[in-house]
Amino acid sequence: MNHFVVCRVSGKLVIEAMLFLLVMLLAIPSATVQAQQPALSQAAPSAETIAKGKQNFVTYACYACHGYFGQGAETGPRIDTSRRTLAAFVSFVRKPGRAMPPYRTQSQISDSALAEIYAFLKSVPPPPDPNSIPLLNTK
Amino acid sequence: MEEPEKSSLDRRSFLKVAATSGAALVASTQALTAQQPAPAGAVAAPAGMAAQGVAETTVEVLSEERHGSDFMMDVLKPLGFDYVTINPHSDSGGLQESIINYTGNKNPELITCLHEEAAVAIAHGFFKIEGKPLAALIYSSVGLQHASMAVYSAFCDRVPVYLLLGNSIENPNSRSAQDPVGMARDFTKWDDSPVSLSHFAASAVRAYSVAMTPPQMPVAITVDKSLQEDRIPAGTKLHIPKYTPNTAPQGDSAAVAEVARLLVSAEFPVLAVERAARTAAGLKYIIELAELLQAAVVDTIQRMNFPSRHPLSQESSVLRTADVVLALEHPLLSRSSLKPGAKLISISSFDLFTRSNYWHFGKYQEADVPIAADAEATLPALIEQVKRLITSDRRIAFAARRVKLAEAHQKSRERDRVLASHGWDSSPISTARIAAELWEQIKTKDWSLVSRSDGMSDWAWKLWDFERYYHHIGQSGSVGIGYSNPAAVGAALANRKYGRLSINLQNDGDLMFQPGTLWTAAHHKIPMLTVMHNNRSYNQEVMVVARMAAERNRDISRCHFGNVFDKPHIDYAQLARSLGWYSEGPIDNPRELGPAIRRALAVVERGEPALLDTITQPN
Ligand code: HEC
Ligand SMILES: Cc1ncc(C[n+]2csc(CCOP(=O)(O)OP(=O)(O)O)c2C)c(N)n1
Ligand SMILES: [Mg+2]
Repeated sequence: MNHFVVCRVSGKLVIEAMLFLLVMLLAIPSATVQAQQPALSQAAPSAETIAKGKQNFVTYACYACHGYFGQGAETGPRIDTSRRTLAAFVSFVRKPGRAMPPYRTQSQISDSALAEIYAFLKSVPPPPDPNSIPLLNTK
Repeated sequence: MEEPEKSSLDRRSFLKVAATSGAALVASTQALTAQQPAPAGAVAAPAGMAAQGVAETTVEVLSEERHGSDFMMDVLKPLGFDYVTINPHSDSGGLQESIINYTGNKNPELITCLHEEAAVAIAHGFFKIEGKPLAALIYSSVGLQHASMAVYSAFCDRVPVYLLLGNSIENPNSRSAQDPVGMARDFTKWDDSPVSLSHFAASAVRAYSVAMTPPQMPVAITVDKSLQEDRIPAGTKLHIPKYTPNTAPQGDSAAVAEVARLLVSAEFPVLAVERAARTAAGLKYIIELAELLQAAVVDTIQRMNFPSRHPLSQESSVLRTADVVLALEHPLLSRSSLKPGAKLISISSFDLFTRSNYWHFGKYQEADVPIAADAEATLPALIEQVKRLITSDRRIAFAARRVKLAEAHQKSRERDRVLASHGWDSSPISTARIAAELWEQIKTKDWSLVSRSDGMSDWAWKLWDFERYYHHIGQSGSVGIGYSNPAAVGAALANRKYGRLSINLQNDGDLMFQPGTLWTAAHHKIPMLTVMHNNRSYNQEVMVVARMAAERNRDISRCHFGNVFDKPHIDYAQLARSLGWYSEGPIDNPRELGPAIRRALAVVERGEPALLDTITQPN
């Protein structure tokens, strides 16, 4: 029994150390995204990029928690792209708070796929004013 | 649909029944002889009277035309089962035939079910509206194996279901079982396998009493094939015991007085309610107690415990600020959700009956004042004690508390309104939009939500005005998928006689466990509107696997394997139509929703079931 416990504990430590290294390594490429691709966050992205981003949002399961348009649900908040630059968006997804699963590695989702998602989310029109929706203004 | 029929046998020629009357019991003394015609469909007592009790009866059999299962119906009928849900089988053909021909398929009437799990879940949903159990007549071995999850759900949800299990033990066959209930004994309250008719009578009445005494739970009676089928020798006298309902266990008066003192002197007391309102009376008591104290109420909505728009209804985060928490039938409330040092009071029947194997309870609660009693039965005494202790000073403090709570309530409603606008025009349709579109068309009607409310991100609970006990049946108990669709049909069956509009918000994954239940609703003309939460997946599980893959640094894009329903998409409108429902869909344009609801409601108001297949956002 004891032997097992020791193994489990040390195994966990090894994994954690590896994860720490990974996260440190990944922090670098995500920072370079902004430096190398300022065009994506400034110039209007192409319809093709937006379409790819929409598809990526499904492929990488973002929709399952945030809704198909990042509009939010109980399981994941509305993603407000005005709150984050592309670089900050990418680094959040790579290392989110405890509530969201981390997409740590390039093989899990590449920076360019995330940039496409960002472009897609930017293209989603803001939600309507609830006061303009009659059904949300009834008793 | 089988029309309720009069008995085709003339029971007068072989039956003599004498009922002894007692206070609060059904008081009819009947001697059914050849000279006195039996009231159609009635034997010893009018059906539906079991809530008040049933008189003891002696049945004297005058001829050999009577079979064991006829006598079984003499015992069961006065207990007041409106329906018997059935999946037929040879080992209870005797009882089935007696239900049809001896008691005329009326009180109880058979409800044809295409799976035993549905038979039990329909009974579960029915009870949550009507407060009366149904009997489910199913095969003891293979049938109970199918039914077991539904029995477990009823057990977790404290709902009595009366299982009648046909078995053939005297002349065993390939499906006989020596102890069929063994596999379900961990989640039933009591069971027996009677070996004689008088044993049946005693155990059948006992089973009813055990099931109905809080904590209420499923019970099972195994009925042997030969006992059902054998003729009763002429001259046999059989006794049917009287049934007097138990009073529910009330909390010890000293402990209740202490609870009142703690609540009145608390700075910020919170009522945490789970299965607190067993009946409409419970709902009334909880409102009264909350208003006396102007205390916050946090509801897990396992029952219709508290009105959704009541200003004292609060988010669960207020538990963190409470100095005194009164948990009512809420054994799962964890101390870790409270601030350190908060006093936790629990009034729960949980410890009065539990089983060891299946953990429908969580961590040990560590209450400071644990009272083992039925909460609803204890509330009137607690309310009286609280009234006695409230001084004018306290009343002023309470009024100030209410103002703050009302503001917080209003704030969270406004926040929900804003959240509901997100994705308002999106396709797939947002679940908030579905709830809002429905509310617009049902709010002036006498409606009842016959499904879980937690499926579509709780939007119905957040946007509709839940006020009356029958407005909501609560959640499933076990969170076993496959409960919701048949339970909704059972609840809609109970609503039918009141002319209430039953609304079912139906998850796609849940529907496909028991799609045959749609046919049962069509066949028995159970009016209800089912609106699909068709996210074309087990979305909960998509999220689970995405998280798992992420945490393991693996491919998250593969989280759809095993979890989504594509290639082909399931066409629920076509499915429902093939099973006798009016249906429309798939509808993925939110603008088409309102008119579709209007058309479907017109069908439901004609007395038929209707389904809208709405393609929805994931949550
Ligand atoms: C299993 C559910 C889940 C999945 C899958 C998921 N998220 Fe999240 N996400 C969350 C939750 C929960 C939060 C809130 C986290 C917090 O506040 O710590 C969140 C927060 C976010 C935020 C911050 C929101 C804001 O405006 O502050 C962004 C951006 C985000 N997610 C993007 C994504 C993207 C992109 C994907 C897919 C690549 C994704 N998420 C997948 C659950 C999820
Ligand atoms: C009988 C049973 N099997 C499996 C599960 C695990 N489970 C929990 S949620 C879920 C998916 C349910 O799908 P659906 O009803 O469509 O709801 P959704 O997750 O899509 O909101 C499953 C399979 C369960 N709770 N019960
Ligand atoms: Mg689903």
